Amino acid sequence: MIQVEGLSKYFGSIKAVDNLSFHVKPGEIVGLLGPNGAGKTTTMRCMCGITPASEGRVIIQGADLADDPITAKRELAFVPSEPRLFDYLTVREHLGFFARLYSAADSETRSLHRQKVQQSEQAGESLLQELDLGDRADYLPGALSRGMKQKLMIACALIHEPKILIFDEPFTGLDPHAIRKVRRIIQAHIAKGAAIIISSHLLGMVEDMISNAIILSQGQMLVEGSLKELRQRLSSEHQDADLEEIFIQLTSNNAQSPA
Amino acid sequence: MNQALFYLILRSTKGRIRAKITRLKNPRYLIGAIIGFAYFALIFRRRIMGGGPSISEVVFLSEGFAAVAACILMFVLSVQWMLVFASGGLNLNESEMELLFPAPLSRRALIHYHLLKAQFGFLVLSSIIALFLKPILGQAGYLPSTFMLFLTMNVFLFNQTFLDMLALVQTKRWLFRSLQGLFALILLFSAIVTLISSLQSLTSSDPIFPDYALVTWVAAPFQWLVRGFVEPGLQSVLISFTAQFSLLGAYYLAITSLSFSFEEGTAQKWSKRKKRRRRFRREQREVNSEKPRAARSAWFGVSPSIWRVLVGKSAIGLLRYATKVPITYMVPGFLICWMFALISGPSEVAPMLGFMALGFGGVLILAGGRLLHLDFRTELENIELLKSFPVKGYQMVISVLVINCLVLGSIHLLLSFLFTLSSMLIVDASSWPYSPIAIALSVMMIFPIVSMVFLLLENLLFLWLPGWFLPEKGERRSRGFDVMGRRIFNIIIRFFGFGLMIIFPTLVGVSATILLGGNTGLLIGSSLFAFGVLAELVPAVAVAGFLYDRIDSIGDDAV
Repeated sequence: MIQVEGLSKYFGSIKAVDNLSFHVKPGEIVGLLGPNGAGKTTTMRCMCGITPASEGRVIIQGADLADDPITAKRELAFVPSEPRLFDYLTVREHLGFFARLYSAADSETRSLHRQKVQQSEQAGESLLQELDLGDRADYLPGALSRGMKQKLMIACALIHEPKILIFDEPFTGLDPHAIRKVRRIIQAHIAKGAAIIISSHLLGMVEDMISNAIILSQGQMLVEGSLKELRQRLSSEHQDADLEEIFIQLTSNNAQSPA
Repeated sequence: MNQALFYLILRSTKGRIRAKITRLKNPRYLIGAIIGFAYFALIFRRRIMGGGPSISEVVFLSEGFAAVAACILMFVLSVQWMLVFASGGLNLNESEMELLFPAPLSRRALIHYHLLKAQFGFLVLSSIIALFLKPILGQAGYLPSTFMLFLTMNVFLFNQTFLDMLALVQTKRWLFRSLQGLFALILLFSAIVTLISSLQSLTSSDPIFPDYALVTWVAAPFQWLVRGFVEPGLQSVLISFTAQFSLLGAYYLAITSLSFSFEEGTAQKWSKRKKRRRRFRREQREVNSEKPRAARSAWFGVSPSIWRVLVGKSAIGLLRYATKVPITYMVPGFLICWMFALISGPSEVAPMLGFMALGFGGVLILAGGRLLHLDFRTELENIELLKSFPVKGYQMVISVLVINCLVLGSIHLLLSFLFTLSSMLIVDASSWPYSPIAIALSVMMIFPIVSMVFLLLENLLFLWLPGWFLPEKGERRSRGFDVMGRRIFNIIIRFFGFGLMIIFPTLVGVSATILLGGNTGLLIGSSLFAFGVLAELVPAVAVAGFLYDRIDSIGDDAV
């Protein structure tokens, strides 16, 4: 489970995220939605420790990210919107690196550690096959398309079977086949009890996946709830609205309100 | 050391070496490598074959050389402190930030990773260079000395990133920066005083600064740092190693134990870089929205807002050049050696200076493109934006390149002044064929112009002409930057282009110097050289503008 309490992030005088609180339970997918510049990526980066929060706490599986980052991060995986990989590691070596990265922390003996690494590497191999990267295993990232890099990022994130998954725009650059496969993988992890936070502008794509949605605007939480609960906030004529319509209605209302 | 990070370093190194070797299967890279090797073999041939005195005999044993080297170190450090940096020894790149920060790694593990990665690279590089230098230096201390040089650079990079990160997370950043600037000024002052005093002491026993003793306290640690590199002997090497490791240790303790956030600093650095790019895009929109009427009344046909954008970017360029130690200091290094060796250098050091000029020149020719990698090509990453500016190609070239050239030229003017001053002080000028003032003036006329030519050629001939002459088969339009990978042609054009552009003005300048003779001859010769090169830049810019109009892609290879 991941719990965010009063999270704020300042960049100088700019408040990118303002007092955000929510939690995601095991087996739940929460969609973090909002217009450009709403603070979604900053929130996610604070939640996974790339950017330290200015205020508030992030608790992952009972461990505070600020006080005990290593324990907190052990069960976490983050897939950024832009796939950034190591230039001189092959596809397979990326998986080998991630296998070692997450196996090292809690291994008591060398043989146990080696065994865990081997297991992770085997899991990585099957992920490569599943994501159609098997024939590119010895390629360097420079020889991969953007979509392939994105798939590799996803494979790297999943190799250690994390309990918390944070996806920032995971479907960008993927072809329809790959999107379907990634959706299937995400749903499999949900079935195993992972807690997932996903951010996407492809609202139709995530609509049937998410159990709850959080809509951000100007760093603040605008609304939170299931699709049904969000619909109830709209006027009676929008009671059949899909996620995109809900999003447009809620965010445009918010954009007009200051004026 | 975390096993996964060790795996990352080893596998990345292996991948890098494999990629470089695999690349040699491509004939153009193979020929490029052969030419590069042949060039250095030609230069070093006499030394390798055992002819001539070793450099160490000429330079390293010079009295007071450690003091001069320490001053250069202090000067570079003070410049680094005064300016804000975009890169540094502790900087993680975006991939490392995105992949390692969310991983269960301690800050200490990340720092160990970075330290080991840098030292490993330095050790490999030092070993390669030491192999080349062995016959030249002719002494046993060459490997530790070369490693020392890289270690010094590493300490500098550490210093630079550490201060930058500290500054980034300060609430009163201006106060921190002001203090940093003040310390830099003290260091600069100390460097100048020490330099002049130590050089003066070679020719006269009277100290020119009565309070020199105070400054020696500032200079002493820098002399310890460089002794191992500039002086032979185990004792010097040990002193330097101790100083270097003490400094590194102090930084290490500060970084690992201070409460400031390494992650915050790194994230803010990347955030700043992204903001800069966003600002550029915003400015571009402003440029596009400007009415044509405004453009008509502008200087050189380029509207004021475009000038504003480009001059603003040149301010960033100024920082970039000043902090790009190799390119900023190697060009004047080459020119100084060349000037003194061929024009007025004292006979006993002329061969050594000539040799050093060839060495600098070779590195510049072969690695110049790499050293300038972040220069104009960074601007050209935004080729689509630049192309959308309502200006013609030659206007864009003038705006972007000439402003950058002027910035680089100005830095070289300052450096040439400092170097000329110190050179005049270090050698007894009474035996020179020209007066020190005439030499200083001629150097200051030539330096900025030559650096402009170098920059222009690097960006025009080396980048555009190959693409223009070698369009992809079956393509109707040239795709200049897509063929940037054809390094062999770049090297040839770089080599001959630079030579061709320099040779005629040089012949005219040298002829005038010899025919007219004396200081007047030198000054007129230098002026003719400078104006000759400037005149050549006009058609070069016109050609570049013509090519610029026809380029529609930069391709991945170029950037």
